[in-house]
Amino acid sequence: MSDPILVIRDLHASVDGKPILRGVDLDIPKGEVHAIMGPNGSGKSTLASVLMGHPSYEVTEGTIKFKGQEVIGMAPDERARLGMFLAFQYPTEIPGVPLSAFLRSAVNSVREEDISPREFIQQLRTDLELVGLDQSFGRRNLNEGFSGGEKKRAEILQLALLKPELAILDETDSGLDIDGVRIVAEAVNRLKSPEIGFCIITHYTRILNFTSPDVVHILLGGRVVKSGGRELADHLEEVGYDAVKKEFGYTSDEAEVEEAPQS
Amino acid sequence: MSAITELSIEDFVAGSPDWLAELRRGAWKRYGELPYPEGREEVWRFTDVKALHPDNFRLLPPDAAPGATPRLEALDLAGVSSAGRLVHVDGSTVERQLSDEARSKGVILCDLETAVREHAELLRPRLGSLVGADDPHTALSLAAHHGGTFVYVPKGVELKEPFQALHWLSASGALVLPRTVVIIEDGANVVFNDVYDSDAIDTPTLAAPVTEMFIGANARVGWVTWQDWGAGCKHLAHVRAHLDRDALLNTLVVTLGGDFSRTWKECTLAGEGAQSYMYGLYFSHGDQRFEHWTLQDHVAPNTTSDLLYKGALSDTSQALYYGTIHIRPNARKSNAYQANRNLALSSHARALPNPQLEIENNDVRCTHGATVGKISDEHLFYLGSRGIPPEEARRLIVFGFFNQVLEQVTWSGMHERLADAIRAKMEGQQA
Ligand SMILES: Nc1ncnc2c1ncn2[C@@H]1O[C@H](COP(=O)(O)OP(=O)(O)O)[C@@H](O)[C@H]1O
Ligand SMILES: [Mg+2]
Repeated sequence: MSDPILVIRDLHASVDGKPILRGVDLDIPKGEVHAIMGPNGSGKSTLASVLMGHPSYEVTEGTIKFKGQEVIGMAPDERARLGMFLAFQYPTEIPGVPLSAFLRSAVNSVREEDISPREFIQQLRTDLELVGLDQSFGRRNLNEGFSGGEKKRAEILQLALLKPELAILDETDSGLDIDGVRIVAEAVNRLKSPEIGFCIITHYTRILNFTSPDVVHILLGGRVVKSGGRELADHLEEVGYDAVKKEFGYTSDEAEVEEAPQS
Repeated sequence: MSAITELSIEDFVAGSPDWLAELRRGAWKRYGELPYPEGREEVWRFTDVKALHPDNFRLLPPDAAPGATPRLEALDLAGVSSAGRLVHVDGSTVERQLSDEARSKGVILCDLETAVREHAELLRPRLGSLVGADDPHTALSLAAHHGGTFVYVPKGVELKEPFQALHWLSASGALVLPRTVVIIEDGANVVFNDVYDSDAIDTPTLAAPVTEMFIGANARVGWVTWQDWGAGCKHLAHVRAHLDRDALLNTLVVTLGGDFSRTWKECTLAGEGAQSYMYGLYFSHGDQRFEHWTLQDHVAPNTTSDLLYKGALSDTSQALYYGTIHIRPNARKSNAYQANRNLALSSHARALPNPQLEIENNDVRCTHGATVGKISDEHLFYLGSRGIPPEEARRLIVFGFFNQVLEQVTWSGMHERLADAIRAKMEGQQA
C-alpha cells in the first residue's frame, strides 16, 4: 500500500450549527478503490461536500490532508486544481451553459497548458462514448433537462476528462438501471490506475459487484464505525442497515440526524 | 436657460415645405400647451422626470456643424459589408452609403432631410402618425426634430446584409431629436441595426430619438437597437411599429450605456396573423438606471407576440421593466407572451419588473412572468468543484443566463460584439 493521498483525521462538520460529521477518520491511498457505505442520513454526502469545500458546511474540528497539504480553508476550485474531484449525488443544472463550453473551461482550469481545440474535441468524443452518451450532448446545456441517469453519466464524463488523483463518487449508482450501473462501473475500471484513488459512496452493494473495492468503510451517525474488506459489504447486504445500526448501539434516530432526502 | 427660447421654432421651420412647417408649428403649439409631468403620473412615478426636462439641455440649431467624426471602426457593427449605412453625428448626417444591389432593387436609404425634399409622398402621410405629439418630449421631437434615417424597401425585396444607422454624440449638454421612418412594403425581408454610441460626455446630454416603422403584409423584418452611450448621456427613445397581415417583426433592444436610458418599444399587430418577437438584453453597472417600457398591442385576430427581456445588474444600478399586453376586443385567437428575467449581481442593484395585462377578448392565450434572481452558491460550488475559478464561473453563468437572447442574434459580428460587451461589463469596465 502506497502512502495515502487523502488523510482525514477527527473531522467534525456542521451545517447551520447542527453537527453532522462527528469525528471521521479515513485514509485513501492512490491506486485503491474504497467504498463508503451507510444508511440514508448517515452523513455520506456531507462528507463528500466537506471534502470538496462546500461553503454551507463549517468544519469545526479535524484535518483533511490531500497530497500532504491541508485543504481546509481552500476554495473548491483550488482543491479541484490540486487533483480532487467529486461526482455529485444531485448534479446541478446550469441554464444556458453548453456542456462542451463548460468542459473546456474546466479542463483548461485544471491543466497547466490549455488543451488544443482539436485534442479537446477528440477527447470529448472518446469520453462521451465511454459513458454511453450520444455525441449531441456536447451541445446540450449543462445537466439541463438531462434524465437522472444522463446526469450521472455526465459526472463520469467529467471525471474522465479532468483526470483527478482522487475521485469521490457520491451515490453515482443510485437512480441508474442495471445497465447504467454497469457502464459507470466499467468506466471506473477503465480509469483506475496507480495514479488515482477512488472513494465510492454508495447505499447499495450493486456497483461493488462490478468494481471491487479494496476497502469498505461503514459510516454511521457521522463517523466511520467499521472498515474491512469486500466481505463487509456482503455482510451489510445480508443483514441490512438496521442490524448494523443496532450492532453499533445506534437507534434509527441517532444514525440519521434527520429525515434524509430520497436517493 | 431654456432649450427652445434661444432658438425659435422658425429656425426649424425655415427650409421646410408647407406641410412640414405646419406639422412643426402644430407640434410646437402643443409642446407649449402640455404641462410638464410632475412625477406623480404612472409613466413617471418611478423616474426623475425633472432631470429630463428639455430646458436642462441645449437644442442644436439645424445648421450646426457636426462634431468630430466618430471612431468608425468602433461603431461598425458587422465589420463586414452592409446593404447600406448612414452615420449621424449630433443629429447631422455625415456619411451615406447604399449598396448597388439595394439601389438597383429600388431601396431608399437616406437622412430624413433628404427624404423631406425627395420622397415627401412617402414620408408625409407617415411622419408623426405612429408617435405623435403625445407628451412634451414627443411633441418637441415632432416640432424640432433634426436628422434621423429614412428607409424604404419596395415590395418583395429581400436583402441578406443588414442596413446600419450609426448615431454618434459629441456635443456636450445637447438635446438631440432625430426621427427615423421605416417603410417596409409587402413581402420584403430586411435586417436593420440602429446603433447609438459615444464617448463619455462631461455635461448631461439627452438623446430622444423617435422611430416609426410601417411593416407591410408578409414582410419579415429584423431590427436591433443598440444603445451604448458614454457616461453623461441620457436616452429617451420611442420605437413604434405597425404590422400588417402576416408580417413578422423580430426586434432586439440592447441597452448598455448612458446614465439613464428609457426605451419604449410598442408593436401594434394591426393585420390578422401578424407576429412580433420582442427581445431585450441589458446590463447595467455603476449607478446607471435603465428602463424598458413595452406594449404588445393586439388589434387583429390570430396575432402573436412573444417578448423576452433579460438583464443583469451590478453595483448600485437599477433596471425597471414596465410591459403591457393589450388584447383588443377584436383580437380573438391571439397569443401573447411576456417574460422579464433579471439577474442581480450585487445585493445593492435593484430590478423592478412591472408586467401589466389588459384583456378585452377571452378567446386568447396569454402568459406573463417576471423574476429577479441572483447567482446561486450551488452553481458556483459545482463549477468550482471542476477547477473553474469564481470569476470565470460567474462569467459562464451570466453568459448562460443571456444565452436564450444571444441565440436570437444571428447577424454576423453582432454576436461577438455583444459577448465583448458582456465581458467588459463583468470586468467592471465601462463598456
Ligand atoms: N445543507 C443542509 N442543511 C441542513 N441539513 C443538512 C444539510 N446537508 C445535510 N443535512 C443533514 O445532515 C444529515 C446527513 O445528510 P447527508 O450527508 O445527505 O446523508 P447521506 O448522504 O448519508 O444520506 C441529514 O440529517 C441531513 O438532513
Ligand atoms: Mg447522500
